Amino acid sequence: MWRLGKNKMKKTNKMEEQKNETTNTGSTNDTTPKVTGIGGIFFFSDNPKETKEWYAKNLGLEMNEWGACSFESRNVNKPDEINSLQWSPFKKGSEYFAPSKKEFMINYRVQNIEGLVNKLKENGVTIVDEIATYDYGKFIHIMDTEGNKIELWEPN
Amino acid sequence: MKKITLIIIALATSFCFGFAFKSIITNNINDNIKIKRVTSIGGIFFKCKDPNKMREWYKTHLGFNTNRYGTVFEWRQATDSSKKGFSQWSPFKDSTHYFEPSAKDFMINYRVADLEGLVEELKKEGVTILDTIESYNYGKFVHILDAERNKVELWEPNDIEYEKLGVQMGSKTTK
Repeated sequence: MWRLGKNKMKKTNKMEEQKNETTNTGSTNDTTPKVTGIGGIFFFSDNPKETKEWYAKNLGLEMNEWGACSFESRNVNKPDEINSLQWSPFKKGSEYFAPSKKEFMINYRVQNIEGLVNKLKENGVTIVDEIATYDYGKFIHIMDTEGNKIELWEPN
Repeated sequence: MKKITLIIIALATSFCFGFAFKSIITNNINDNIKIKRVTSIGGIFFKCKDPNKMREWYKTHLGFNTNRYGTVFEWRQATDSSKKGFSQWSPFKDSTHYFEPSAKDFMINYRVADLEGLVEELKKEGVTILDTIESYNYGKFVHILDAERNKVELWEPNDIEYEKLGVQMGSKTTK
């Protein structure tokens, strides 16, 4: 569902690329395969349109043209790098969370997604699909120990 | 005598007009000052069968630095890179009452800039406020219900104190 935020992500990634040219050295160039932050929170809603309107009106969330809200922060180790967290309600029962039966799904930002997936396979973790590559990053879905589907995202 | 009455009426009328104008102008100003509401995500909480096992799983497989509450994600604020920000991640036992009266299996915490101001606005707008503002040294909290009866936690953080608390607990953040 990250495809929704494509253009915005492109812009952010361009900035990141430029910054990385100068900052990707020394201790900031850690490639340990792991999660580094939350990249998104998705949850079921009976009426996503009304839910978005409620959050826009009452809590001031600004929806982008794809209907998601994007919160910006900075990488704690590389303060010049802008990171984004996507918030979006999904129509209840959406296939996007399957095979999870939960009402929410969390997207985690990761570094070294290939290394992480290899490690997860070795550890016997259920991998739902394969790494999909877009210009704004790489994605894969896995299951945690209690059947929650997790989206892993390595931003480009 | 007639003259005096006319003067009084004229004065009274201009006074009323002045008052009316002042009200209109003040209203316009109030409309223009948009209260800052949610600034980012402060936490994600979800129900599970075994929180210990969950914390352990996320530590082993995804590299979370966990403590007894879950983990804290550390970042910097987009508008001021000198300021840090934190988001709490916590699995809760599925028997928890913490999400009530919501029946959902998750709860989101939103960071806000001015909790008192926001609660006043939300009351005016008829939003269900579940409790009263609780203050701790690491921030102020209140809980509300959204349009679909999801319980929502609002947090006006004190990030400096929140960071200190983590250090005191000997916890490492995930970043």
